[in-house]
Amino acid sequence: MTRAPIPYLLLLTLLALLCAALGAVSLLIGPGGGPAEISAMIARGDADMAWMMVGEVRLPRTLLALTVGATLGMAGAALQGLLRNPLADPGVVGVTTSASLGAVVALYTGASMAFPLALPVMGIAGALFSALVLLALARRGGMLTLVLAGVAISSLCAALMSLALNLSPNPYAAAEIMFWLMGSVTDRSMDHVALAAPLMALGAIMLLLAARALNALSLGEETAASLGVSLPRTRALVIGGASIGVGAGTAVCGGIGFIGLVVPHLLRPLVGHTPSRLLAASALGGAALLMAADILVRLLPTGIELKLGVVTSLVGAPFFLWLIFRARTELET
Amino acid sequence: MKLEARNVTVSARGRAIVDDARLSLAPGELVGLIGPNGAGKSTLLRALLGATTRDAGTVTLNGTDLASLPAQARARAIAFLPQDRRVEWRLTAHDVVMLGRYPHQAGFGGPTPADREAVARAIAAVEGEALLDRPVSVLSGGERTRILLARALAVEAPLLLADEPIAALDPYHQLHVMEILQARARSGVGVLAVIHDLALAARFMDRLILMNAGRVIANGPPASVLTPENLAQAYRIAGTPPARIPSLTSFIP
Repeated sequence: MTRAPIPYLLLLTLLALLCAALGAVSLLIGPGGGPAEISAMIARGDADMAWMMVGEVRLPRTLLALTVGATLGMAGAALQGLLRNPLADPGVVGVTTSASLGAVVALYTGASMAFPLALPVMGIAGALFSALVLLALARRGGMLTLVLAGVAISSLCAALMSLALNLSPNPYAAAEIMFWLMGSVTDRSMDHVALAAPLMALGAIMLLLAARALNALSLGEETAASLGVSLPRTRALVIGGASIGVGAGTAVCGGIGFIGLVVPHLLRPLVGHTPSRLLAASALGGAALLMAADILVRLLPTGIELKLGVVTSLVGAPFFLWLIFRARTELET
Repeated sequence: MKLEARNVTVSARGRAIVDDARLSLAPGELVGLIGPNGAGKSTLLRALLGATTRDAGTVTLNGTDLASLPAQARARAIAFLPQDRRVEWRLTAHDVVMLGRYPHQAGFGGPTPADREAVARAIAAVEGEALLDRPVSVLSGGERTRILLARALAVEAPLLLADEPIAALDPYHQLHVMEILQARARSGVGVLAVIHDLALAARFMDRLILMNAGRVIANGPPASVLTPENLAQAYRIAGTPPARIPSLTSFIP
């Protein structure tokens, strides 16, 4: 009885298979050698070398692309459902910039030199701080208050980051900050994965707990409340879940744009436009897209490896413009 | 299941929007809430749903304070059709009606056979079978109202509150919706509807509640409420009780 072009479980299975395939490719290719070189290494008894390349270099990066992509996709879908606005993305709650600010402070103060995990830890602290401010507002204010507060937090954090760049003692420090902000999963360790993954899982659980309420919100807040939806609880789950997950992801990988915006757009027709079904589908879709982008940056012969966030924005922004252009009649009804 | 409001006062910025209002709604009753724009009808309806903070007064459901009821129990007891007819995303009519089963579902399970039967009954009640697979966003005003009414009926609550269910509908659809509400009341549901069309109110409603400036100024059978004195006081119009108008069946060729 649904208009979805393919059954929901089949869609999830196909997306999961796509993720598995991209994950395998991501482990097998890249600088240092493809499957042929890896099997050659193992054949000549150099299994340690093969493990170092696959297990210690490529595995963390693959896991981060998978989990961060999934988090961005699901958070985008949940925020679009909560705000009932197809243009919402994880950036609207200000968490991307607040996590970035925490990381920039770690870079600027040199804390990240003294203790490598200081950077993601401070990024997470920044994200949690902005999440708490928003949650305090979510208890009282409406949706518009939330969006405006997100914009204000975002602007303040961006201004503070500019201040750090402005005051940075030498050009190298400024360049380091700029490069970090572009977003990447290169040169991360399993420590990064272990730090961010539990928070991303917690965020995903919170978003999934709000899934059914997002369906009821399709009929407006008044009707949803009359159906027994607690609006404050739903807001807290979605804002909190998105902030914690995306904040943790940003803290380890930098700002990666457009995944949270574009993926729900692409998948919405395939789940029959049902907000709750869009969550799991967008998580798998986001994971697949970010892994594909990370494979792409390794294959492009650009000399210097492109930053992942640069590629997602370069591909995502024009694509998004095209989506808006195509859907403009629908958006304006 | 009986809904009772006593001495309800709701104010905003120091002005009373609903002032010491009292009303009741019993099973099987079709009650019209009438009054000029700004009389406080929608606000009173929201107070009955527990959706707005009251300054004073009590709202009880079978004697239990509404505020002390869990949200799910309240949602199962009182269905609500708001004035806002917007539906976000391109949900199909079937998906929208299924949302009426929200208070009966829990966790991540899909709809049960009981949910599907309730949805089928609600759609049959509004004769919406032909619309099921169409996105609500492309339906006409009359079709959309019927589907949203079916959504409220799918709750299968003993009480139904509707805020201007026939606003912006043509005469045929107005009569159609009124007949659906009447059938619901005859099946034992207590129905309270805000309505502006006094002729239809007089024809269909068992009882009318007339509000003016936040106060309930008359409450009783239509003939006793729609008096020239009351109409003059509430609507500032000179008028006589509306005449009977033809039933829906005479409109159908």
